[in-house]
Amino acid sequence: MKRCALLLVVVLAIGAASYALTRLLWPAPAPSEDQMAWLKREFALSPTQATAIEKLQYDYMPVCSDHCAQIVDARERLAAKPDDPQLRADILRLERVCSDATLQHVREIAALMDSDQGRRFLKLVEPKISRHGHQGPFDLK
Amino acid sequence: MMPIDPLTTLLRRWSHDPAITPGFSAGVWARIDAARRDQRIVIAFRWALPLAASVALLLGMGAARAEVKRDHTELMAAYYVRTIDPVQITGHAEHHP
Repeated sequence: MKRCALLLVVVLAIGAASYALTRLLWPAPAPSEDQMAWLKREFALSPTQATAIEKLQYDYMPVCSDHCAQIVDARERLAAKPDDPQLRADILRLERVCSDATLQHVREIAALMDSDQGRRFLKLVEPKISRHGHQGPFDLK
Repeated sequence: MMPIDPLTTLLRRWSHDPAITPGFSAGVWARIDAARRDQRIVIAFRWALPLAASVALLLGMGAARAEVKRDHTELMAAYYVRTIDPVQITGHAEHHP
């Protein structure tokens, strides 16, 4: 019994030490890794899939920029008239439209991946996309 | 002529005939078997310690590596979403599609 307890303590100590040392000494991958390179590596994209996703991303850029410009414009208008409920509602509507477009975009990307990888991709990125469906339009009644 | 020592005579006549204890032989073998079992436990422990230590070492390293990878994946996914989500882009004032 005493030997078993000793064995357990030694094993736990070695496990904890190896975990701590590995976390301390093993370098984490660079967070500034190129996104396309990360997608290729993380989701095991074939060259064909990578090319198709790259094209999709490229095509989405103007859509994204347009949405950004609309949100910035709406926020500037709201800053000029902070008490205007219509402007607040407009911003919420706009943000919802943008989030839906982003969700649609990531789903299109996932559809180009292998099914398991696509599911994993969506599980990873979907919760990080801003959603406004649960919010009311500020203090509007 | 030396007188005969009565103690010597007594010792010469003395003989010890121990009564056989019931189960004596079985008891001896039981003790021998117990000693053998103890030896086997010691030998097993000698193997178990390095084996368990090696497994613990590998598990510790593996868990740390998996956690580093998971953290990196989460970080990259969050960064990726921040570059394609206009709400976050305008909130963070950055745009890297």
